Amino acid sequence: MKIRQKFITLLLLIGVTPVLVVSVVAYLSFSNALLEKTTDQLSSTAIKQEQRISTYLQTRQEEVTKIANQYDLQVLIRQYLNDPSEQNKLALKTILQDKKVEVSLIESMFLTDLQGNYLVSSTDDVEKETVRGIKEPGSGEDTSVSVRNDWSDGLSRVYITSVISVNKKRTALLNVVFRTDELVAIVQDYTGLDETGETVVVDDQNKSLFPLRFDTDASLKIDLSSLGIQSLNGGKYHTAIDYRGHEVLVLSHQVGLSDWTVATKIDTSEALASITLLRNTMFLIVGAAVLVIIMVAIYFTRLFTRPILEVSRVSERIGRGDFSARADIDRKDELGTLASSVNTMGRNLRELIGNIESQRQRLQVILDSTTEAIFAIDADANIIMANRAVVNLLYVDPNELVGRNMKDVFKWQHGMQDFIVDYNVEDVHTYASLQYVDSKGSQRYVKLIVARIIDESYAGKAQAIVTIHDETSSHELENMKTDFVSMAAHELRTPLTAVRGYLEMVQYKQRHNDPKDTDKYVNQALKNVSDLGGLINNLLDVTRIERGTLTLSMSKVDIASEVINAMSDLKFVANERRINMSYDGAEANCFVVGDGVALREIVNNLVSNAIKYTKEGGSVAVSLQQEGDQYVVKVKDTGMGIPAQAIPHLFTKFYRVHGGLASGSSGTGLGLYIAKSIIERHKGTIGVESTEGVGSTFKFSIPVFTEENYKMAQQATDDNTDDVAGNITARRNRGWVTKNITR
Amino acid sequence: MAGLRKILLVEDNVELRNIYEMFLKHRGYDVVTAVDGEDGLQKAKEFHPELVLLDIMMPKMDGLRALKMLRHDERYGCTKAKIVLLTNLGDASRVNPKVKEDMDGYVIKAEIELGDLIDIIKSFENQE
Repeated sequence: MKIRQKFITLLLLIGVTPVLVVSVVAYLSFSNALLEKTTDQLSSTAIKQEQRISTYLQTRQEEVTKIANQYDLQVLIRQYLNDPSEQNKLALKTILQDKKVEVSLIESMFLTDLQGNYLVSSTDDVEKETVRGIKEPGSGEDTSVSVRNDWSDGLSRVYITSVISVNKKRTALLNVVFRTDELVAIVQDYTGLDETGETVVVDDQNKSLFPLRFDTDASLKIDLSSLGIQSLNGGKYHTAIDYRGHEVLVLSHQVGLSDWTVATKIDTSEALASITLLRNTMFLIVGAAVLVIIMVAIYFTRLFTRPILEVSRVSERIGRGDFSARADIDRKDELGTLASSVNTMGRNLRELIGNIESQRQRLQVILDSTTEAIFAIDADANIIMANRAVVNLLYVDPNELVGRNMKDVFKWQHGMQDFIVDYNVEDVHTYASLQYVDSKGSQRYVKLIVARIIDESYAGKAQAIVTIHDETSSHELENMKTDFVSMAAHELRTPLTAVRGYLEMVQYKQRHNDPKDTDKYVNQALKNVSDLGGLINNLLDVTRIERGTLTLSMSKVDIASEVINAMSDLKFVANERRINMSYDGAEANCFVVGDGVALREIVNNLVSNAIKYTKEGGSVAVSLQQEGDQYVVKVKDTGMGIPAQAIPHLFTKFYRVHGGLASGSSGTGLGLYIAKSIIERHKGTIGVESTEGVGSTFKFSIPVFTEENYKMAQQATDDNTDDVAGNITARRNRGWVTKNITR
Repeated sequence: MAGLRKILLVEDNVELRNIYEMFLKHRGYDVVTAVDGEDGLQKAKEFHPELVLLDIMMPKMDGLRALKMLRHDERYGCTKAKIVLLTNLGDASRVNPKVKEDMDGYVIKAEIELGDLIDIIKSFENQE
């Protein structure tokens, strides 16, 4: 059950229970009181009626007894009984008529003997039928009362029979007939009774003696035994069904001086009407009260549970990770405190989570900034996490790797053989120089470190951390260096071999006294020695560039003449290969600040490369133009061209387009590297545009001479001249130095 | 015995080619020259040399590829010929085993005198 239902239930219990208890108690006591009042009313009416009837009957009996005790009547009765002559009978009749007159209410009087046999009557009309059933009052009783309706007019009458004793001896019965009007009036006086109240009088046979209130047409002697009057104990009421079939409350009283019983009764519906009304009112009040209580309960429940529910909702949201959730409750009570505590908790959590998140992000940044690819893997080598650096190895988003298996992601090779890496190591295991072929088909060289995770609490999630260090570039550099050493040896050995060959030839000729061609051999040998020197200087230049000690002799130089001179040095080679070499540009007076010898060497290098890579019959076109504040030298060939992927590496050290040693083409791969370094020292740029199979155009630019440039260059030269032998001028001068010696 | 007389010299460096050719011819050998690997294969087909002196670093086709083809491809008629790698690359003690299988000798040019070439040729003659 939710708190709101509980709260409402509680409030309802608290509110409704007393109302119900009070209502029930009030109802019970009020209804009892009402019932008592009703029964009291019935009872008092019954008593009152009974008294009036008793009084009436007593009066009448007294009157009758008084007549019966009159001496003259007794004398005449004795006379008549002794001599039942007409005369005596008439005398009796006359005296009865006289006596009747004395009591106004008497309708008639007649005499019977003790057996009830008719003797004489005050009137003539009731003579025959009315004497039936007259009985002598019981022993000890002098009078008896009965009600009869055996007259032809159908009206009931009260008969009072009194014993006439003559000389203390029961002699005859005096029967006095009274009209019942007065009794009926008494019985039908319903004063004190409500609308359905009624008084009935029954004899000892439960027969009604008087007309009934609700059935005036009914004859007398109606059987009212259903009311159970006889079973009543005085004063107690009970419920019964009356002659109309109504449920009634009944109360009765024995009437004195007769075997009559007076019963008062009232319809239960009326008697209980006020109780029903009370009950209904009670119901209404209780209902209204409960309704009010429910509303109050709901109101208070809302009042109290709203903040609780709000706080609960907010806590739940916070629990779900929505730390921005706040309870909007402005209260001064404990609930307000609770809400603000939860809010504070939310804020603190947010801050905490924020801190954790920023720490996590910091770690992630660190992880992602690391050039090593890092994988966290589980015991089955499934990837749980990968950092950003894996992109460089696999060209896929790190998230796509999660869930995949290391064994599927990497197919390792070692020394060109397939190799299985054990990712389930005890401690740390390093696999040096592993290879795999990446998705772009390139061979990659890596160092792989598998480290078991030490933290036991994390071990359930990740088993090991795999770090992959991509050594491809350093491996390539290593290869290039190795290649370079081999290449350098090769390049040095070649002129050396030639020198040796030529000298042996000369030696051979001399031994055989054949001087022919010896001069030529010696010259060729010298040329090769010179090449050897140039080669060695190139190597030294690289070293100087690396060490930053390459010294250039900066002066005002005519770049045009340097280009033309460089070309003329190569005219012979070009002719030999039947390559058409052309020059387009000024013949002189294109001044720059630079090292003339170095610049000439660069042009020489570019042009000889162009010649080298151009087929016989091709052309090499050199041009010199001023573009803005730059002189631009272009060397365009119709050679084999350079693959696009090679161009970015062209000016790097040791790089050789056709793959170094394996390709069979010679060269140290240093020329363009040196050229770039020197051009950059001249504040210029060098670049190439090339189409494979069509040709290449190398171009470099150098700022046009200005006094300012010149001063700056001089300054730079002075700062840089600390390597005695290390400058190009010295080299060009065949090893002897003329200037720029500072010590 | 007649010995080895027909020599194919495959060498891209014009000067060395000239020197070796001149020297060998002077010693009475029948010498044909080629300027690169492809040229060498072509010349081998026509000339059927008994000995091939093969440079390694050459344009178009390098010596190692040429060696493999000469040794294993019947079309060039050199599967039985002596093939000596004549180069300035690397050193003789560290030749790739696969290459070693195919070649009959590995000579660093810079380290021999011209006369040594004759001794090498003679050593093959003695084997015969």
